[in-house]
Amino acid sequence: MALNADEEDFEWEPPTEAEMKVIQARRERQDKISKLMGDYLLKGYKMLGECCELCGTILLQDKQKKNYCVACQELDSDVDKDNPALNAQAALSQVRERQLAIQPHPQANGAPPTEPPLSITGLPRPEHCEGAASGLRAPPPSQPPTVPTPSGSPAFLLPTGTTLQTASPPAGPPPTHPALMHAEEAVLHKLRWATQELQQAVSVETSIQLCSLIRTCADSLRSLRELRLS
Amino acid sequence: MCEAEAVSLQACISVVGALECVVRRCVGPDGGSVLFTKDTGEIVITRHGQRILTMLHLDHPMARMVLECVCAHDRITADGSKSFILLLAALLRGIRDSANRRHNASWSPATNRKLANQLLAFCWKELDDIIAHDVVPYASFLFGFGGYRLEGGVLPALVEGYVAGRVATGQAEILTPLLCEFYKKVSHEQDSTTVEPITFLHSNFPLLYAKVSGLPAGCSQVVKGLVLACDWSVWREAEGPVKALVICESLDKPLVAIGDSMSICFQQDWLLRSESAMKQRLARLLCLQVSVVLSSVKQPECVLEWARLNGVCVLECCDSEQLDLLCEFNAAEMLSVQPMLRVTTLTFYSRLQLGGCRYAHLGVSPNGSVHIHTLVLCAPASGPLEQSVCVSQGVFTMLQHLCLSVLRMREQSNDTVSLSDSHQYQIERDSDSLTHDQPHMSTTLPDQSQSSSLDQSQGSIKDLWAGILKAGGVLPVGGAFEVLLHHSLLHCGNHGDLESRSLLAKAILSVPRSLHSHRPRYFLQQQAQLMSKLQLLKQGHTLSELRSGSDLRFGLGPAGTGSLSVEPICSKHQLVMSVLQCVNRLLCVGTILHTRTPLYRTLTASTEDSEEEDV
Repeated sequence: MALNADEEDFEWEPPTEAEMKVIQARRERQDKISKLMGDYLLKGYKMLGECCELCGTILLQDKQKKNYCVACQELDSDVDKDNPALNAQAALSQVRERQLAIQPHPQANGAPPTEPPLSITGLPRPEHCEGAASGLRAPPPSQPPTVPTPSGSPAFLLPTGTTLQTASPPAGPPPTHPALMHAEEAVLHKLRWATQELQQAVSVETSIQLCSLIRTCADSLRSLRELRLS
Repeated sequence: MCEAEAVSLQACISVVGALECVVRRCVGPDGGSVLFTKDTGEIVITRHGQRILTMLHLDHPMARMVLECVCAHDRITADGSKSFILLLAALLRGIRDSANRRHNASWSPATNRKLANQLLAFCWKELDDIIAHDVVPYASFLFGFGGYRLEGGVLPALVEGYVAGRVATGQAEILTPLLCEFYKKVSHEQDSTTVEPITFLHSNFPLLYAKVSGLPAGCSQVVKGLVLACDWSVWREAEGPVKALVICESLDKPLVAIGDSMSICFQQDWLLRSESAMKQRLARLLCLQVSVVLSSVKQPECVLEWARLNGVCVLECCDSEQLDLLCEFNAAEMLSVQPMLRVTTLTFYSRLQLGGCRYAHLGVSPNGSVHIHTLVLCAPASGPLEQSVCVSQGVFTMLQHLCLSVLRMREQSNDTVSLSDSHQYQIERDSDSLTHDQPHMSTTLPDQSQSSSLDQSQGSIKDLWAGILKAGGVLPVGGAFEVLLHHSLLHCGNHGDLESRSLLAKAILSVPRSLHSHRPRYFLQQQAQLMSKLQLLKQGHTLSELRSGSDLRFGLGPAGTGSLSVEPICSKHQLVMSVLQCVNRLLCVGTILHTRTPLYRTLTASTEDSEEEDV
């Protein structure tokens, strides 16, 4: 090709599968952004000549002269979901990748590989705290499981608990059965929902019922933790 | 201070992608319309791509540039605004994909510009050849001897193909035969050998239609003569050809030539004097034996009174452009005494009742091959009425573009003597491309030397439309052109710019894919069928039975009619060229400079400008 007759061409390799996936994901995101922008244009928004500082998408302006970025406001961030400090999934996948990279050594030792370190903390935590906590705590899989400290889960026992809960100090990570983990996740989710509803409830009867639900959730969580520890 | 912003390919794609999402849902006969509500309460329902894009608020410079290109293309062909955006988006994405496949470090703005120039060079040098040698012959095979026959002729098929994608089915069923009838009456059917009627209709259509709101669309008709949207102020029944006076100023104004000086002195009997001057003028008019006075302004009461007394009909507040057309058509005589008066002849005059209004109806004698008729368009509301008007104007623009291109093509191929002439034409075209910013084929009407040869070639056409069919000027709607071009770009010839060919080949199929987005498999079947049929025809086989071509409809057009709709190849050719030129413009943009003063708006006060300009 006349266009690119440089020596760099000979060093070019086709993109790997991971890179292709990233490119594909980026393309789908761009398509979604275009579709949203098209819908807003038809609603009467004005397409400005400026770009958003955070993500680089073209800004729209509504009739009240307020600027609006489609990507920042409506879509999940493209970059944030890869940042381990902000996203539990990203952190866990980063840890997993690191451990998979050093896994051949422990296996050569004959030690049975433990459960994947997804269950490091044992208990599912609020996302932005769990990720950071688990990322900091990445242990090699060959370590024997240690009993987690009870302080590992004080936050969930609060019946009037708020949704924001602090990360507990690091404790040894025991392996957890996936079914238990799912159960704990589900109960925690219901607990959070009940808390939110309670904050908005106006009638006494509803509040009483929500409080009893929260108590039941806390009891379930305690039972699950005991089951896991036993 | 100006802020500079580096332009990336991604920014272009975002902008064009947003526009694509806007128009994609309106493509084709199955597409939807967009309902716009203005702050004034006015509602506009439209499917016309250019109209939709013009009504959006677009402040981004690239978006405005794309819109300019779309409008320029629409002015020439009145077709393909939505396809323009779809093709543009697909082409830009193809360029981005090929950039991703290369090493990222070597892709720079310079590479963009290089690719842009490559595409433009391909557009000017190779595209014409590919279409002329690989697409047009297929079209003439398809409709030539042994191929499909178009029921009802080429013109209804062309009009149907155009109208069906732009208005609702019911409206399309009424408009198609109406427009064909309008053309036939204007060209007086036996004389359909010249392009004169089409050119006349295209340039004068705004003066040759009347809008009537409140009646069902089925009441639309074609009436002989000119219809003026005003009623007679003084009316008297009469028959036969009459002399008419066309006047542009009020008769009681002193008719003094510009530049003459006039002294005014008030006298006691001034009123009497001015009245007597008026009486003299009116007496002079009577001597001319005019029976009708057509005035573009309001006349004083005394003139109307005089008319009543002397049996003269008066029509006031006419459209001055229609009066000009009338005078030009009839070669009206200018009165040497009073330069603002023209005298012409009418074959008849009458009153016409349309809907709730009365109109004036004037008969005009034919001039050459053109007989003036007026298209009366009726619709229950103003929205569909505007759509009908827009579509009707578009039909004649499209037909004119088709006729001129086919004649030009024929002239070039017949022109054995003057190789230098066609070389001259090529040079002219190249210089056009360099000097003119607007993307267009050099559609400047043929200059003197070419028009004479056009006239010569016109004499040899038996029937204009059959000639167009034989020359391979039309293809079935629904993606036949795109399929053929895709095939030609990929398989015919291994010379030239392969990269541009492959980019264009991949992008061109995006248009019919959007058209058939609700049944992609059907489109693939039709695509395969078309290619196999063409292979057969190319090898010289005739089709076993002369069908009406309903299996080539791609499922479009009014269901059950079984008739084939066609579209002109030249419009599609022009579309591809316009898109390639637009891509060139977009890729060559290096930086956007944001200025304080809005450059595209005409500000009312110049003082505002000077305050804001702050370098």
